[in-house]
Amino acid sequence: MNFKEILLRAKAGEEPAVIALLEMYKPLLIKGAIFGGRFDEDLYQELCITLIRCIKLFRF
Amino acid sequence: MWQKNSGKSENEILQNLFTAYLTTAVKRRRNDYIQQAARLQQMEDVTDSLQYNPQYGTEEDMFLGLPLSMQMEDSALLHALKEVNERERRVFFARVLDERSFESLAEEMGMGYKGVTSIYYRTLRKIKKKMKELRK
Repeated sequence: MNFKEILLRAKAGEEPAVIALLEMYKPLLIKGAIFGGRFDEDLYQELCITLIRCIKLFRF
Repeated sequence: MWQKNSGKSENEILQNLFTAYLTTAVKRRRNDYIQQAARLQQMEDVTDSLQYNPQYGTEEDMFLGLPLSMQMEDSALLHALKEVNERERRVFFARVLDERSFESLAEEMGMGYKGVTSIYYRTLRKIKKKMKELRK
């Protein structure tokens, strides 16, 4: 399954596709969630929500 | 799936676009979060130092004793308010917080009724626009 397909499925609200994207971007989110020299779980959670919002809002 | 993408095919271009989009969103959310944490910290520091001050009886009094910028929970609103100029801010606060009428404001500021109303509505529009941008 290519990226476009996953993104379209995730946009349509298919959970497995959203999870696939979450997994795919996990490193990016973890990197963003490091704050003050440690991993901030609350921030990580916020960023996961940000990803889900981005899936919805992204236009191409 | 995990290898670095060359950005050649349509699919890879799309993925790169999405990654860039996400990176920006993540950066913004992260900055917001850090600011929020800093403000909370600041508030804690202030309340710590006020702990033994008999002047502030209840929690509410103490909260109201803080500078206005620290009473605000909405960082987007705070930023929007920083963007508008002094006169607009004054009208906005007088209207929203002190619930003043346009007539009395106009008199105080030596302006016409129309002038004050147009400042007020322009400020509202500016703030709304700015907040919308920040919330994206």
